[in-house]
Amino acid sequence: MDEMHVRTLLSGLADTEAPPARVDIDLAVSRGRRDRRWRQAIAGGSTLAVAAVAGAVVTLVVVPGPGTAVTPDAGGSGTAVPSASATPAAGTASGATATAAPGIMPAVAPRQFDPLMPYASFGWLPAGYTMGGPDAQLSTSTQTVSLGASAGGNSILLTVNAAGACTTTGAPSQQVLTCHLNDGSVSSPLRATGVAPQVNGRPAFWSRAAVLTGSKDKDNSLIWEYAPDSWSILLAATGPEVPVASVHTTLSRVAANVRYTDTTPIRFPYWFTGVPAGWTATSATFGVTPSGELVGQGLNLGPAVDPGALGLDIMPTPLGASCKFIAGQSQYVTLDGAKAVLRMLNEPGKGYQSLCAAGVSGMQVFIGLDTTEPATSSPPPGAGGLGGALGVAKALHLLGADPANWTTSPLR
Amino acid sequence: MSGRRDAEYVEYVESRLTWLRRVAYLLCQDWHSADDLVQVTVTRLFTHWPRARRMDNVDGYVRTILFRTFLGERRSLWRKRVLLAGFVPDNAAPGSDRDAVLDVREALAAVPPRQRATLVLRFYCDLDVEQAAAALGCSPGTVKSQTAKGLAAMRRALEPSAARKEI
Repeated sequence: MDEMHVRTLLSGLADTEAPPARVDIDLAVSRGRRDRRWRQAIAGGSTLAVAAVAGAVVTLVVVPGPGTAVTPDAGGSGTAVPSASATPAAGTASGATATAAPGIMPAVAPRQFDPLMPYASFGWLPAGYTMGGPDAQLSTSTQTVSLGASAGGNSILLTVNAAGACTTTGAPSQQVLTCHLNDGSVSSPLRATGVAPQVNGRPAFWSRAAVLTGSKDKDNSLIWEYAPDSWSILLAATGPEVPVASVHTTLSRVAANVRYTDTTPIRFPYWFTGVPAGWTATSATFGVTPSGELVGQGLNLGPAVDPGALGLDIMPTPLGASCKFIAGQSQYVTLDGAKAVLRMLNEPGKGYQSLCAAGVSGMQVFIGLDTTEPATSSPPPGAGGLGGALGVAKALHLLGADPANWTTSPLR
Repeated sequence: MSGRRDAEYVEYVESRLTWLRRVAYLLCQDWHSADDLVQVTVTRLFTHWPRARRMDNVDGYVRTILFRTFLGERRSLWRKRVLLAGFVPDNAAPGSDRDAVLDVREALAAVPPRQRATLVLRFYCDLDVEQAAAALGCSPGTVKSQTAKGLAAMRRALEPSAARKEI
């Protein structure tokens, strides 16, 4: 087989007749705008944050070693880190031999997390790093809590897996960790590259899986058993100019200060009634305000077999927000007096509805619904069903753009 | 200002949607996953659109997002961040072409993801070694080795079906 033959084969395959696109540009704009707003909020939320970003690379490298005096703010997060105001003394976890901080590690981890309530948070981050962002996501069925923090081109991601979600094989220096994900699939194995210093007395190992950047030269991981049969993963993406030893030192310190059983709930700008029997909230995305509040941005609900059957993306209406009308699929409807676009796809074997409204009570509303689920299109709302995307919209109670009026109980 | 920018974005994505879906299909081998991949890609593109729209090669930028998302998502511990509802059955190719298409699809699926991405970049997107290396964030040497391994894997995957037809 020569290269020309491969070109012909690939072209032929790519020219296969495609079904109608399910790609939703409105959804991309809605979620992209949400992510952008968060970035802007962080960048503009504090001059301290902006100033700190510039020195992030240097800060990541220069983590004091054992015995070096550390003042609480010298390496502390300083901005927008929930629970970080109660950061354990930064000096308690200096250097690669992160020492125990009493009470941080749970004796037992739950087998299932509440997606509306983060189970863990950063207790310490290098200067300039702020928590949250597009990767801030909580979910229940894969039992993961993912919290991102970033500064400049560097980022740190914490993933906490519930008890029993992951398995390890191999000797300590050659361990392989595999975790079960939300959708029933299994994560790519994380292979140990060496034994790491214990994290608060718990076993740990290093890995260099290219998860964040796709390059093993840039990604480093610290993996530790934070409770019996329960694993946490810290991933750091840095430039290749940052020495691995320095990254390890920083990861050890971040890991030693991760706070579990955090009870700061996410606040949502709406509440919703009529969740079908057997459905639960399965995942949520959120941002973090400069004052440290967790602000709900996306919420997925569904039955166990389809945990993302209903997606709600609702936030204060950004400037320039609009909804796309697709001829043949869309129709205009009115939602609380505001113009909205209802899109319906009813191809054989699938069903999808979305409702997009750019300005309802000061909010942008995007509802995505899998209508192949029996509960979504019939019976109607109030009779154990949702009544399609319009039915969902009618069961939403928007709380306006002021976070002071938002709720930590979005499902009633 | 942002309204005009957003309109530019929508216009760009609409004009490139077919191309993005086809490239994603080669990577994923099913339209359902391909649409999910494109959905994540165009969402990320929107986030970076103020910068991306000023670039000389927006297509190259979005292609890089697509490939890195594909490779990242396959490794990611938080895969399926964007869930599109519904299952899309793949349309079977009509007539006698169907078996050939299925053979190629299965052969491509048998190629490991990184090698598959390299083959698609080199032989469908027509990138040279250096350009493919930049898109994948690796060295030209890695692209060369991944290309050779990918070609070998595809050849192995196609040979049994070829032999079967001759019998």
